[in-house]
Amino acid sequence: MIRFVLRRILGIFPILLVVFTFSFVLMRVAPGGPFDAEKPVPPEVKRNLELRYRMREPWCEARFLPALQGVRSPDEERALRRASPWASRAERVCTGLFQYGWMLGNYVRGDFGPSYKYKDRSVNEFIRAGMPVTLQLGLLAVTFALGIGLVAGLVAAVYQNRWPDHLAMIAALLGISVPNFVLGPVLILVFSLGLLWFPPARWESLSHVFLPGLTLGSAYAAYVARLTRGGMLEVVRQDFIRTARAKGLPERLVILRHALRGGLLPVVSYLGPAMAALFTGSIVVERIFNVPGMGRYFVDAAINRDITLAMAVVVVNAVFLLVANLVVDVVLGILDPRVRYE
Amino acid sequence: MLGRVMEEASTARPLVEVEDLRVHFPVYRGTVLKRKAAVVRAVDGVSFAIARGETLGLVGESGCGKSTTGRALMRLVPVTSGNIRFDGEDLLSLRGEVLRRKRRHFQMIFQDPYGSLDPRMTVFDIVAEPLLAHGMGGPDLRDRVQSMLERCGMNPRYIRRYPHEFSGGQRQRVAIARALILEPSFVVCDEPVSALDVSIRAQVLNLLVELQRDLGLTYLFIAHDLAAVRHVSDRIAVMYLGRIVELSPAAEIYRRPAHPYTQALISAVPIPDPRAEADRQRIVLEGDVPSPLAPPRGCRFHPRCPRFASLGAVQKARCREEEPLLRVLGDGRQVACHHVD
Repeated sequence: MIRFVLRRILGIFPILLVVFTFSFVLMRVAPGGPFDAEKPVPPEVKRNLELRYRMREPWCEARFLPALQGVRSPDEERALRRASPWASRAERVCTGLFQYGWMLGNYVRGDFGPSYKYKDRSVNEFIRAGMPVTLQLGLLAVTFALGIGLVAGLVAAVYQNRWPDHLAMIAALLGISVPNFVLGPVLILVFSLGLLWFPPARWESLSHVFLPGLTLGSAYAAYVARLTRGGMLEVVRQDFIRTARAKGLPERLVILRHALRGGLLPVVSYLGPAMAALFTGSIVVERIFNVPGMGRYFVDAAINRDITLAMAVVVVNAVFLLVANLVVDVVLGILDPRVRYE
Repeated sequence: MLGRVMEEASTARPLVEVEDLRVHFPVYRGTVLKRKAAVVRAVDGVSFAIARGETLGLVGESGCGKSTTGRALMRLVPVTSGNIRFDGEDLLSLRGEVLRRKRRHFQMIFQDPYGSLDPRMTVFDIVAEPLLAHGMGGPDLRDRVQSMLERCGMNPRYIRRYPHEFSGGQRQRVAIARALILEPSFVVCDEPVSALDVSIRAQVLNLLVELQRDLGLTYLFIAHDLAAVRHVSDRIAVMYLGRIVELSPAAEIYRRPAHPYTQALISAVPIPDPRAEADRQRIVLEGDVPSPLAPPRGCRFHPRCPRFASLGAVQKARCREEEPLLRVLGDGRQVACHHVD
């Protein structure tokens, strides 16, 4: 088991390299750059910015397109590039390789580089500010999802096709169908503005976490409930449950010891990607409750063509997904000896 | 109702008495408004008794209700009507905690050793759990589990392993140890070898016979195959469509099968001698087993009965109208057919 975990941890790094490379290439290939503003900056300023952020590499220019170094206006550059397309492409690829190496080196040292949009802040600062908030929110959402979902699913399975089952499944259907941007405001209306139990927004104390956590976790709770019910019903039909009853085991133990362990497998498999998604933030919930988490950076970065920030968010997401899936595989191995490795 | 053999053979009361047992399963139709559309008469009026230390074989085709009978005796399926007395006690009146406590006296070995063992438990946990459930654990729990496994032919070193690491035969040995560790007096063996390789069936059958002798067990031995029960059973009951059609001593049922259905079953058993096998007269039954949703009126076997065609009109009418009851023939055989003397 330990060898399996170590091997899986080592396996994470090549995957991260692929994710990094892929998102880097996509970012470079996508049209538009971080310094293309609607109101153009002076060409000298833009050139200096690009040099500062390694969008331009003097060595590559000198090697492939020396004429570029004397160019003053964007129109001139465009004309020059059109005149010698192959040299222009070679120069871009060269610059890209330089930038790739530079960024990769920074990533290895844990430095995500400067934000291209907010020039006085580094990407690390954004993540350091947003990640704890998102993690707290995500943790609470996972707690809700498991707490509500497991109990509802268990009750539904035990009382299959009777009213507790129908009640739980209708609630689950609602949880899945009602979008966050409806549930959030409704919860605010009822619990903040109506009952005055919880604050409607901001991020200051534990009571501030409750409503956004519930909003974020509700859909996951609904899925967990359905998966628990389905998994349990599948296991309950199996022969060894009859054996357990024939042994003279109390019904409570038949359910908890024999049925639930097998019934949890689909839930655990689902929790891997679900936790990764929860721990990387939700733009909708963060906007509604004015929570300073990671979710908004992702969207802002994409809109602002903030390459470093967007890439950092992608890589951090990938890390969460990989770690969550590793944890899931270990837990599956504990729950089901047949999937144990080696 | 009980066989004359029983009355003669045992002055003491039989360990298990079953009287007019019926297990009907309702079938529901409709998704929103559920209504009872039909009833599957899985077991429909079955009576027998098993003496202490005896093995009663119960044979019949798939779906004839033999497994359901076994499960009803174990109180694992709801019984529609009838009586089950276990050691003189009315088993059907027990419920809840009283029933749970009683369970240690009657245990069941299931057909499929791949499905009947929890794949997420070690062999030790599987065999120890019944003891713990009945508050019979103790400091020597491990020793008792190991010696039971050893007695069932398992190497006790393997108790930390999981069921999927074993072959079918080994798993069935674990299942037998699991059932017998509670020291029950009555064990239902529900086709305990039919899921196993032919090569190891005899081993497991011999083990069951050995354990019965050593522990003084009483067996209800269910099988769909007459050859398997012949050597372990004292008496054999043949079931067809939820009813017993013949109940006779094991040797008799082979030598002189009385019911036409039993005759057909016996004729289907291959003879392990090519020359005799070539001459074997097979009675091939026409058609399928009728649905237990709507069993035929009168004798349930008459639509497929090979003897029916040769009967006269009056006799045929009797088969169609009147359900034959188990009658005691002079030599201890019991048969449910109007036309056997």
